[in-house]
Amino acid sequence: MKGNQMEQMKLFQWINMVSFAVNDIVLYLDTHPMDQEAIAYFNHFREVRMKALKEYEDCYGPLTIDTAKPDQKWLWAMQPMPWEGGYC
Amino acid sequence: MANYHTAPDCGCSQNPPRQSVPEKPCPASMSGRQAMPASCPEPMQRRQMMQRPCPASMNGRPMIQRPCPADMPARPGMPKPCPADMPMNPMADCPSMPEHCPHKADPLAVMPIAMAYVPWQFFHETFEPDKALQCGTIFPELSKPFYGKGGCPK
Repeated sequence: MKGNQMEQMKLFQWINMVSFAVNDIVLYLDTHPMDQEAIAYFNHFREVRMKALKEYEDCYGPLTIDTAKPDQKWLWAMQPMPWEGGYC
Repeated sequence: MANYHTAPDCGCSQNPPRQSVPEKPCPASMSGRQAMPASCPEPMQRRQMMQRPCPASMNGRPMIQRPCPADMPARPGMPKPCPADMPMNPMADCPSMPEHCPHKADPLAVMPIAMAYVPWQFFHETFEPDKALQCGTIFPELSKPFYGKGGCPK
């Protein structure tokens, strides 16, 4: 695996981790909507996730449709598909 | 147009007086055989079944002295026992509980049956994101890996 691909894989795995953390704290907050510690946890990891997604988009293209910024071309559809080794 | 709300006679009185519903015919008398003028034997058989010995005492063990619930007369005025008045742990000396089971005392024994209880969760510590993804939860107290063993032997 090339160095660039390794970095992409690492960043992708980090996004998976922080996305899971956001997902799980959302489940907790559904039943604990006033828990300040949980809200702080959510805000922290939401921010971390958004930064990672932005970094991924800058380096390798959009991973989610939220970070797809059509400029000159619709890069979202031009990236490799998952069965072609892509991640989105 | 008639005012059906204020009309003194809505027409119901013109209906013939309601006849009493005939009793359901006895199945035994419907099979083309000679009709039995006496009462149907079916309810009698049912009553006889109620007087059979309780299955709990049919296994040859004479030590069971509890009355069969089917033989107990209905007592509609009898108040139900309050769960709070029940013994704290009736399962503790249950003979069917294996001696080596670490969960011999059932903490839920005083709870009403058929209700589900989920203890309240509090926010304490959390896993690091990599560990959380591995365990499927950010909460260490909810990380319950399944090993396919353990629990009370049945």
